[in-house]
Amino acid sequence: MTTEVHTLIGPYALHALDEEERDLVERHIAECESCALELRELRATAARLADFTIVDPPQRLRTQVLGAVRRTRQLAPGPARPPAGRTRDGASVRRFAGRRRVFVTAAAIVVMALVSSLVTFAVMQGRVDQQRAEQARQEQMEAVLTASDADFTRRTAEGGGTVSMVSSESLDQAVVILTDLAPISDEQSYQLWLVHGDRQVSAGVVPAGHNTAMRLVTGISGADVLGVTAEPAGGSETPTLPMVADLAMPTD
Amino acid sequence: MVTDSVRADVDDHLKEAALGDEAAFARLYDLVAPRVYGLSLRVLRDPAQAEEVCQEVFLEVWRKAARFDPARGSATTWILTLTHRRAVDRVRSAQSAVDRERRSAAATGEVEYDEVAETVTDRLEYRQVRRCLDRLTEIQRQAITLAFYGGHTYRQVGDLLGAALPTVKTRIRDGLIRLRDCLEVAR
Repeated sequence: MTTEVHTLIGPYALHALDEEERDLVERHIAECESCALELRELRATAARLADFTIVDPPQRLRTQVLGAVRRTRQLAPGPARPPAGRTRDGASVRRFAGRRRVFVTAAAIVVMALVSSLVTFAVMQGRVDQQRAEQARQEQMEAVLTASDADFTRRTAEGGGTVSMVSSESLDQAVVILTDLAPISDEQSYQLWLVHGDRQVSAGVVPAGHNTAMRLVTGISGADVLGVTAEPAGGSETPTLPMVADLAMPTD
Repeated sequence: MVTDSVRADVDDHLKEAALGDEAAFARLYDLVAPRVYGLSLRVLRDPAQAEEVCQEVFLEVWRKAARFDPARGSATTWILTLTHRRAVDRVRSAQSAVDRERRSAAATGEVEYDEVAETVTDRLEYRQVRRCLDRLTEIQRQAITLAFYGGHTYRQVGDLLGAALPTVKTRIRDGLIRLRDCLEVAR
Protein backbone atom coordinates (compact mmCIF):
# COMPACT_ATOMS: atom_id res chain seq x y z
CA MET A 1 0.00 0.00 0.00
CA THR A 2 2.69 2.44 1.05
CA THR A 3 4.85 1.59 -1.95
CA GLU A 4 1.87 2.10 -4.19
CA VAL A 5 1.12 5.54 -2.77
CA HIS A 6 4.80 6.34 -3.08
CA THR A 7 4.88 5.82 -6.86
CA LEU A 8 2.03 8.34 -7.13
CA ILE A 9 4.41 11.12 -6.05
CA GLY A 10 5.63 11.41 -9.66
CA PRO A 11 2.17 12.04 -11.16
CA TYR A 12 1.36 14.21 -8.12
CA ALA A 13 4.31 16.50 -8.86
CA LEU A 14 2.89 16.94 -12.39
CA HIS A 15 -0.67 17.62 -11.14
CA ALA A 16 -1.72 14.45 -12.98
CA LEU A 17 -3.87 12.85 -10.26
CA ASP A 18 -7.59 13.02 -9.72
CA GLU A 19 -8.87 14.43 -6.45
CA GLU A 20 -9.14 11.17 -4.52
CA GLU A 21 -5.58 10.07 -5.19
CA ARG A 22 -4.33 13.57 -4.51
CA ASP A 23 -5.74 13.41 -0.99
CA LEU A 24 -4.13 10.01 -0.54
CA VAL A 25 -0.70 11.34 -1.51
CA GLU A 26 -1.06 14.46 0.64
CA ARG A 27 -1.86 12.38 3.70
CA HIS A 28 1.09 10.11 2.94
CA ILE A 29 3.50 13.02 2.51
CA ALA A 30 2.41 14.65 5.73
CA GLU A 31 3.65 11.55 7.57
CA CYS A 32 6.80 10.79 5.60
CA GLU A 33 9.72 13.22 5.67
CA SER A 34 11.72 11.47 2.92
CA CYS A 35 8.64 11.52 0.66
CA ALA A 36 8.23 15.24 1.26
CA LEU A 37 11.87 15.69 0.23
CA GLU A 38 11.36 13.63 -2.91
CA LEU A 39 8.30 15.70 -3.79
CA ARG A 40 10.28 18.95 -3.38
CA GLU A 41 12.95 17.63 -5.75
CA LEU A 42 10.48 16.37 -8.33
CA ARG A 43 8.56 19.64 -8.24
CA ALA A 44 11.79 21.56 -8.82
CA THR A 45 12.51 19.17 -11.70
CA ALA A 46 9.05 19.69 -13.21
CA ALA A 47 9.48 23.45 -12.90
CA ARG A 48 12.57 23.19 -15.09
CA LEU A 49 10.33 21.85 -17.87
CA ALA A 50 9.06 25.44 -18.13
CA ASP A 51 12.50 26.32 -19.56
CA PHE A 52 11.12 24.73 -22.69
CA THR A 53 8.12 26.96 -23.17
CA ILE A 54 9.43 30.48 -22.62
CA VAL A 55 7.28 33.11 -24.33
CA ASP A 56 7.38 36.84 -23.68
CA PRO A 57 3.95 37.95 -22.42
CA PRO A 58 2.27 41.03 -23.93
CA GLN A 59 3.40 44.31 -22.38
CA ARG A 60 -0.16 45.16 -21.24
CA LEU A 61 -0.09 42.15 -18.92
CA ARG A 62 2.79 43.72 -16.99
CA THR A 63 0.83 46.95 -16.64
CA GLN A 64 -2.25 45.04 -15.48
CA VAL A 65 -0.39 42.91 -12.97
CA LEU A 66 1.57 45.77 -11.44
CA GLY A 67 -1.57 47.93 -11.38
CA ALA A 68 -3.51 45.21 -9.55
CA VAL A 69 -0.60 44.74 -7.14
CA ARG A 70 -0.72 48.41 -6.22
CA ARG A 71 -4.35 47.98 -5.15
CA THR A 72 -3.96 44.64 -3.39
CA ARG A 73 -3.28 44.16 0.29
CA GLN A 74 -0.72 41.54 1.21
CA LEU A 75 -1.31 38.78 3.74
CA ALA A 76 0.55 38.84 7.02
CA PRO A 77 3.04 36.01 7.61
CA GLY A 78 0.93 32.96 8.32
CA PRO A 79 1.04 30.49 11.17
CA ALA A 80 3.79 27.91 10.77
CA ARG A 81 2.74 24.87 8.76
CA PRO A 82 1.91 21.83 10.84
CA PRO A 83 5.01 19.65 11.18
CA ALA A 84 5.14 16.37 9.27
CA GLY A 85 3.61 13.45 11.10
CA ARG A 86 0.68 15.37 12.50
CA THR A 87 -2.14 15.37 10.05
CA ARG A 88 -5.80 15.37 10.82
CA ASP A 89 -8.75 13.98 8.96
CA GLY A 90 -10.29 16.55 6.68
CA ALA A 91 -7.16 18.67 6.63
CA SER A 92 -7.05 18.71 2.85
CA VAL A 93 -10.70 19.72 2.65
CA ARG A 94 -10.05 22.70 4.88
CA ARG A 95 -6.96 23.60 2.94
CA PHE A 96 -8.94 23.62 -0.27
CA ALA A 97 -11.67 25.80 1.22
CA GLY A 98 -9.02 28.24 2.44
CA ARG A 99 -7.34 28.44 -0.93
CA ARG A 100 -10.61 29.19 -2.59
CA ARG A 101 -11.49 31.91 -0.09
CA VAL A 102 -8.17 33.63 -0.67
CA PHE A 103 -8.74 33.52 -4.41
CA VAL A 104 -12.24 34.97 -4.11
CA THR A 105 -10.92 37.79 -1.94
CA ALA A 106 -8.15 38.63 -4.39
CA ALA A 107 -10.62 38.55 -7.27
CA ALA A 108 -13.04 40.77 -5.38
CA ILE A 109 -10.29 43.34 -4.85
CA VAL A 110 -9.54 43.44 -8.56
CA VAL A 111 -13.24 43.76 -9.32
CA MET A 112 -13.68 46.57 -6.78
CA ALA A 113 -10.89 48.54 -8.38
CA LEU A 114 -12.68 48.12 -11.70
CA VAL A 115 -15.97 49.20 -10.11
CA SER A 116 -14.56 52.45 -8.80
CA SER A 117 -12.90 53.29 -12.10
CA LEU A 118 -16.15 52.70 -14.01
CA VAL A 119 -18.07 54.82 -11.49
CA THR A 120 -15.49 57.59 -11.86
CA PHE A 121 -15.97 57.34 -15.60
CA ALA A 122 -19.75 57.67 -15.27
CA VAL A 123 -19.39 60.70 -13.01
CA MET A 124 -16.93 62.36 -15.36
CA GLN A 125 -19.50 62.25 -18.11
CA GLY A 126 -20.97 65.29 -16.44
CA ARG A 127 -24.24 63.85 -15.28
CA VAL A 128 -23.79 65.14 -11.80
CA ASP A 129 -27.47 64.70 -11.01
CA GLN A 130 -26.98 61.00 -11.46
CA GLN A 131 -24.10 60.95 -9.07
CA ARG A 132 -26.30 60.22 -6.11
CA ALA A 133 -27.98 57.28 -7.82
CA GLU A 134 -24.58 56.00 -8.92
CA GLN A 135 -23.38 56.24 -5.35
CA ALA A 136 -26.29 54.15 -4.08
CA ARG A 137 -25.69 51.63 -6.83
CA GLN A 138 -22.02 51.50 -5.97
CA GLU A 139 -22.82 50.85 -2.32
CA GLN A 140 -25.12 48.01 -3.30
CA MET A 141 -22.41 46.54 -5.50
CA GLU A 142 -19.80 46.86 -2.79
CA ALA A 143 -22.12 44.98 -0.47
CA VAL A 144 -22.15 42.10 -2.96
CA LEU A 145 -18.39 42.23 -3.51
CA THR A 146 -17.60 42.17 0.19
CA ALA A 147 -20.31 39.67 1.22
CA SER A 148 -18.89 36.85 3.30
CA ASP A 149 -20.32 34.34 0.81
CA ALA A 150 -19.15 36.18 -2.32
CA ASP A 151 -18.26 33.79 -5.12
CA PHE A 152 -16.19 34.77 -8.13
CA THR A 153 -16.46 33.39 -11.68
CA ARG A 154 -14.87 34.55 -14.90
CA ARG A 155 -15.13 33.33 -18.48
CA THR A 156 -13.55 34.31 -21.76
CA ALA A 157 -16.33 35.37 -24.11
CA GLU A 158 -16.87 34.12 -27.64
CA GLY A 159 -15.23 36.68 -29.92
CA GLY A 160 -12.98 38.09 -27.17
CA GLY A 161 -13.15 39.85 -23.84
CA THR A 162 -14.27 38.47 -20.51
CA VAL A 163 -17.39 38.22 -18.40
CA SER A 164 -16.80 38.31 -14.64
CA MET A 165 -19.36 37.77 -11.93
CA VAL A 166 -19.28 38.13 -8.18
CA SER A 167 -22.43 36.65 -6.67
CA SER A 168 -23.79 36.49 -3.15
CA GLU A 169 -26.43 33.93 -2.35
CA SER A 170 -27.36 35.62 0.94
CA LEU A 171 -27.97 39.00 -0.77
CA ASP A 172 -29.58 37.28 -3.79
CA GLN A 173 -27.57 39.60 -6.05
CA ALA A 174 -24.62 39.52 -8.38
CA VAL A 175 -22.32 42.07 -9.95
CA VAL A 176 -21.60 41.25 -13.59
CA ILE A 177 -18.80 42.93 -15.50
CA LEU A 178 -18.32 42.77 -19.24
CA THR A 179 -14.80 43.70 -20.30
CA ASP A 180 -13.77 44.35 -23.91
CA LEU A 181 -16.33 42.05 -25.51
CA ALA A 182 -16.34 41.95 -29.32
CA PRO A 183 -17.18 45.47 -30.53
CA ILE A 184 -20.80 45.91 -31.68
CA SER A 185 -22.53 48.65 -33.68
CA ASP A 186 -24.96 51.24 -32.24
CA GLU A 187 -27.75 49.07 -33.65
CA GLN A 188 -26.93 46.38 -31.10
CA SER A 189 -26.86 45.92 -27.31
CA TYR A 190 -25.38 43.27 -25.09
CA GLN A 191 -28.04 41.80 -22.81
CA LEU A 192 -27.77 39.69 -19.64
CA TRP A 193 -30.04 36.71 -18.92
CA LEU A 194 -30.78 34.54 -15.93
CA VAL A 195 -31.49 31.03 -17.14
CA HIS A 196 -33.82 28.86 -15.05
CA GLY A 197 -33.93 25.46 -16.73
CA ASP A 198 -35.43 26.23 -20.15
CA ARG A 199 -36.77 29.65 -19.12
CA GLN A 200 -34.69 32.82 -19.67
CA VAL A 201 -35.36 36.09 -17.88
CA SER A 202 -33.71 39.34 -18.92
CA ALA A 203 -31.28 40.60 -16.28
CA GLY A 204 -30.47 43.94 -17.86
CA VAL A 205 -29.55 45.55 -21.17
CA VAL A 206 -26.26 47.37 -21.77
CA PRO A 207 -26.45 50.71 -23.66
CA ALA A 208 -26.29 50.22 -27.44
CA GLY A 209 -22.79 49.95 -28.86
CA HIS A 210 -21.08 49.47 -25.46
CA ASN A 211 -18.82 46.44 -25.08
CA THR A 212 -17.60 47.17 -21.54
CA ALA A 213 -20.12 47.53 -18.75
CA MET A 214 -21.05 46.64 -15.23
CA ARG A 215 -24.49 45.59 -14.02
CA LEU A 216 -26.06 44.76 -10.69
CA VAL A 217 -28.28 41.71 -11.15
CA THR A 218 -30.94 41.02 -8.52
CA GLY A 219 -33.06 37.95 -7.85
CA ILE A 220 -30.46 35.38 -8.80
CA SER A 221 -31.81 32.58 -6.61
CA GLY A 222 -32.89 29.51 -8.53
CA ALA A 223 -31.01 30.52 -11.69
CA ASP A 224 -28.66 27.91 -13.13
CA VAL A 225 -26.74 30.10 -15.53
CA LEU A 226 -26.02 33.74 -16.23
CA GLY A 227 -25.81 34.31 -19.97
CA VAL A 228 -24.80 37.19 -22.24
CA THR A 229 -26.14 37.69 -25.77
CA ALA A 230 -25.89 40.32 -28.50
CA GLU A 231 -29.36 41.73 -29.31
CA PRO A 232 -30.88 44.53 -31.38
CA ALA A 233 -30.39 47.90 -29.61
CA GLY A 234 -32.52 48.11 -26.47
CA GLY A 235 -32.71 44.36 -25.91
CA SER A 236 -35.08 41.51 -26.78
CA GLU A 237 -37.83 39.51 -25.11
CA THR A 238 -35.98 36.26 -25.66
CA PRO A 239 -32.25 35.71 -26.14
CA THR A 240 -30.73 35.41 -29.61
CA LEU A 241 -28.56 32.31 -29.53
CA PRO A 242 -25.78 31.34 -29.37
CA MET A 243 -24.79 33.12 -26.18
CA VAL A 244 -21.61 35.15 -26.17
CA ALA A 245 -20.77 33.68 -22.75
CA ASP A 246 -22.49 31.66 -20.08
CA LEU A 247 -21.45 31.35 -16.45
CA ALA A 248 -22.78 28.59 -14.22
CA MET A 249 -24.20 29.99 -10.99
CA PRO A 250 -22.32 28.69 -7.94
CA THR A 251 -24.17 25.75 -6.50
CA ASP A 252 -22.86 25.62 -2.94
CA MET B 1 17.90 32.74 -17.37
CA VAL B 2 17.25 30.34 -14.57
CA THR B 3 20.87 29.92 -13.80
CA ASP B 4 21.55 29.57 -10.10
CA SER B 5 22.29 33.27 -9.73
CA VAL B 6 18.99 34.25 -11.36
CA ARG B 7 17.19 31.81 -9.08
CA ALA B 8 18.83 33.52 -6.14
CA ASP B 9 17.74 36.92 -7.53
CA VAL B 10 14.13 35.75 -7.71
CA ASP B 11 14.38 34.56 -4.10
CA ASP B 12 15.77 37.97 -3.05
CA HIS B 13 13.12 39.94 -4.94
CA LEU B 14 10.39 37.85 -3.34
CA LYS B 15 11.81 38.56 0.10
CA GLU B 16 11.78 42.30 -0.63
CA ALA B 17 8.30 42.09 -2.14
CA ALA B 18 7.10 40.46 1.08
CA LEU B 19 7.91 43.80 2.75
CA GLY B 20 5.64 45.62 0.32
CA ASP B 21 8.36 46.61 -2.17
CA GLU B 22 6.51 47.01 -5.49
CA ALA B 23 9.69 47.75 -7.45
CA ALA B 24 11.21 44.47 -6.27
CA PHE B 25 8.02 42.72 -7.32
CA ALA B 26 8.29 44.30 -10.77
CA ARG B 27 11.85 42.93 -11.05
CA LEU B 28 10.59 39.51 -10.01
CA TYR B 29 7.85 39.78 -12.64
CA ASP B 30 10.38 40.57 -15.36
CA LEU B 31 12.49 37.55 -14.46
CA VAL B 32 9.76 34.89 -14.25
CA ALA B 33 6.85 36.19 -16.38
CA PRO B 34 8.11 34.65 -19.69
CA ARG B 35 8.09 31.25 -17.99
CA VAL B 36 4.75 31.75 -16.25
CA TYR B 37 3.12 32.99 -19.45
CA GLY B 38 4.82 30.46 -21.72
CA LEU B 39 3.84 27.53 -19.52
CA SER B 40 0.21 28.67 -19.20
CA LEU B 41 0.05 29.19 -22.94
CA ARG B 42 1.47 25.75 -23.68
CA VAL B 43 -0.98 23.99 -21.39
CA LEU B 44 -4.08 26.06 -22.27
CA ARG B 45 -3.27 26.96 -25.90
CA ASP B 46 -5.32 30.14 -25.51
CA PRO B 47 -3.58 33.52 -25.06
CA ALA B 48 -6.59 35.07 -23.28
CA GLN B 49 -6.76 32.31 -20.69
CA ALA B 50 -2.97 32.24 -20.34
CA GLU B 51 -3.05 35.94 -19.47
CA GLU B 52 -5.77 35.33 -16.90
CA VAL B 53 -3.70 32.59 -15.29
CA CYS B 54 -0.65 34.88 -15.20
CA GLN B 55 -2.61 37.61 -13.52
CA GLU B 56 -4.02 35.20 -10.93
CA VAL B 57 -0.61 33.69 -10.24
CA PHE B 58 1.21 36.98 -9.78
CA LEU B 59 -1.52 38.37 -7.52
CA GLU B 60 -1.32 35.21 -5.42
CA VAL B 61 2.47 35.52 -5.24
CA TRP B 62 2.20 39.16 -4.16
CA ARG B 63 -0.43 38.46 -1.52
CA LYS B 64 1.31 35.42 -0.08
CA ALA B 65 4.91 36.66 -0.42
CA ALA B 66 5.33 36.84 3.36
CA ARG B 67 4.13 33.24 3.71
CA PHE B 68 6.66 31.79 1.29
CA ASP B 69 8.97 29.34 3.04
CA PRO B 70 12.39 29.08 1.34
CA ALA B 71 13.08 25.85 3.23
CA ARG B 72 10.54 24.16 0.95
CA GLY B 73 12.15 25.09 -2.37
CA SER B 74 13.11 28.05 -4.54
CA ALA B 75 10.74 30.94 -5.27
CA THR B 76 10.93 30.11 -8.97
CA THR B 77 9.75 26.55 -8.32
CA TRP B 78 6.96 27.81 -6.08
CA ILE B 79 5.71 30.26 -8.72
CA LEU B 80 5.86 27.73 -11.56
CA THR B 81 4.11 25.09 -9.43
CA LEU B 82 1.28 27.58 -8.78
CA THR B 83 1.16 28.35 -12.50
CA HIS B 84 0.98 24.74 -13.57
CA ARG B 85 -1.69 23.92 -11.00
CA ARG B 86 -3.91 26.82 -12.08
CA ALA B 87 -3.48 26.05 -15.77
CA VAL B 88 -4.30 22.38 -15.21
CA ASP B 89 -7.32 23.27 -13.05
CA ARG B 90 -8.66 25.20 -16.02
CA VAL B 91 -8.02 22.34 -18.41
CA ARG B 92 -10.04 20.06 -16.13
CA SER B 93 -12.98 22.45 -15.82
CA ALA B 94 -15.57 21.37 -18.34
CA GLN B 95 -15.99 24.64 -20.21
CA SER B 96 -12.40 25.25 -21.06
CA ALA B 97 -11.84 21.58 -21.88
CA VAL B 98 -14.42 21.96 -24.64
CA ASP B 99 -12.87 25.19 -25.93
CA ARG B 100 -9.47 23.64 -25.89
CA GLU B 101 -10.64 20.53 -27.66
CA ARG B 102 -11.97 22.69 -30.45
CA ARG B 103 -8.72 24.57 -30.83
CA SER B 104 -6.36 21.63 -30.92
CA ALA B 105 -8.46 18.70 -32.01
CA ALA B 106 -5.65 16.91 -33.74
CA ALA B 107 -2.87 17.44 -31.23
CA THR B 108 -3.94 15.03 -28.46
CA GLY B 109 -1.51 12.19 -28.95
CA GLU B 110 1.46 14.26 -29.98
CA VAL B 111 4.55 14.83 -27.96
CA GLU B 112 4.71 18.53 -28.51
CA TYR B 113 8.10 19.48 -27.28
CA ASP B 114 9.46 19.84 -30.77
CA GLU B 115 7.49 22.98 -31.54
CA VAL B 116 9.43 25.63 -29.71
CA ALA B 117 10.09 29.23 -30.63
CA GLU B 118 13.50 29.63 -32.21
CA THR B 119 14.55 32.42 -29.90
CA VAL B 120 14.27 29.98 -27.02
CA THR B 121 16.36 27.22 -28.53
CA ASP B 122 19.55 29.29 -28.24
CA ARG B 123 19.28 29.42 -24.51
CA LEU B 124 21.59 27.29 -22.45
CA GLU B 125 18.91 26.09 -20.05
CA TYR B 126 16.69 25.08 -22.97
CA ARG B 127 19.47 22.97 -24.44
CA GLN B 128 20.14 21.39 -21.07
CA VAL B 129 16.50 20.34 -20.57
CA ARG B 130 16.37 19.10 -24.15
CA ARG B 131 19.49 17.01 -23.67
CA CYS B 132 18.09 15.50 -20.48
CA LEU B 133 14.68 14.77 -22.04
CA ASP B 134 16.48 12.99 -24.87
CA ARG B 135 18.09 10.67 -22.36
CA LEU B 136 14.76 9.33 -21.16
CA THR B 137 13.17 6.23 -22.62
CA GLU B 138 10.48 6.92 -25.19
CA ILE B 139 7.64 6.01 -22.84
CA GLN B 140 9.09 8.03 -19.93
CA ARG B 141 9.37 11.09 -22.13
CA GLN B 142 5.92 10.70 -23.64
CA ALA B 143 4.28 10.12 -20.26
CA ILE B 144 5.95 13.18 -18.71
CA THR B 145 5.33 15.57 -21.60
CA LEU B 146 1.69 14.49 -22.03
CA ALA B 147 1.05 14.98 -18.32
CA PHE B 148 3.01 18.22 -17.89
CA TYR B 149 2.51 20.13 -21.15
CA GLY B 150 -0.75 18.40 -22.11
CA GLY B 151 -2.37 18.78 -18.68
CA HIS B 152 -3.57 15.16 -18.79
CA THR B 153 -4.07 12.95 -15.76
CA TYR B 154 -1.90 9.85 -15.70
CA ARG B 155 -5.06 7.80 -16.42
CA GLN B 156 -5.60 9.81 -19.60
CA VAL B 157 -1.93 9.37 -20.43
CA GLY B 158 -2.45 5.61 -20.06
CA ASP B 159 -5.36 5.75 -22.49
CA LEU B 160 -3.42 7.86 -24.99
CA LEU B 161 -0.39 5.59 -24.92
CA GLY B 162 -2.32 2.35 -24.58
CA ALA B 163 -0.23 1.55 -21.50
CA ALA B 164 -1.25 0.01 -18.17
CA LEU B 165 -1.69 2.45 -15.29
CA PRO B 166 0.99 0.97 -12.99
CA THR B 167 3.41 1.27 -15.90
CA VAL B 168 2.49 4.89 -16.53
CA LYS B 169 2.87 6.04 -12.95
CA THR B 170 6.19 4.30 -12.42
CA ARG B 171 7.50 5.61 -15.76
CA ILE B 172 6.55 9.14 -14.75
CA ARG B 173 8.32 8.82 -11.42
CA ASP B 174 11.40 7.05 -12.83
CA GLY B 175 11.59 9.57 -15.66
CA LEU B 176 11.37 12.53 -13.29
CA ILE B 177 14.08 11.05 -11.09
CA ARG B 178 16.32 10.58 -14.11
CA LEU B 179 15.63 14.16 -15.19
CA ARG B 180 16.37 15.38 -11.68
CA ASP B 181 19.76 13.68 -11.70
CA CYS B 182 20.57 14.84 -15.23
CA LEU B 183 19.61 18.46 -14.48
CA GLU B 184 21.36 18.25 -11.11
CA VAL B 185 18.34 19.72 -9.38
CA ALA B 186 19.23 20.46 -5.80
CA ARG B 187 16.61 20.28 -2.98
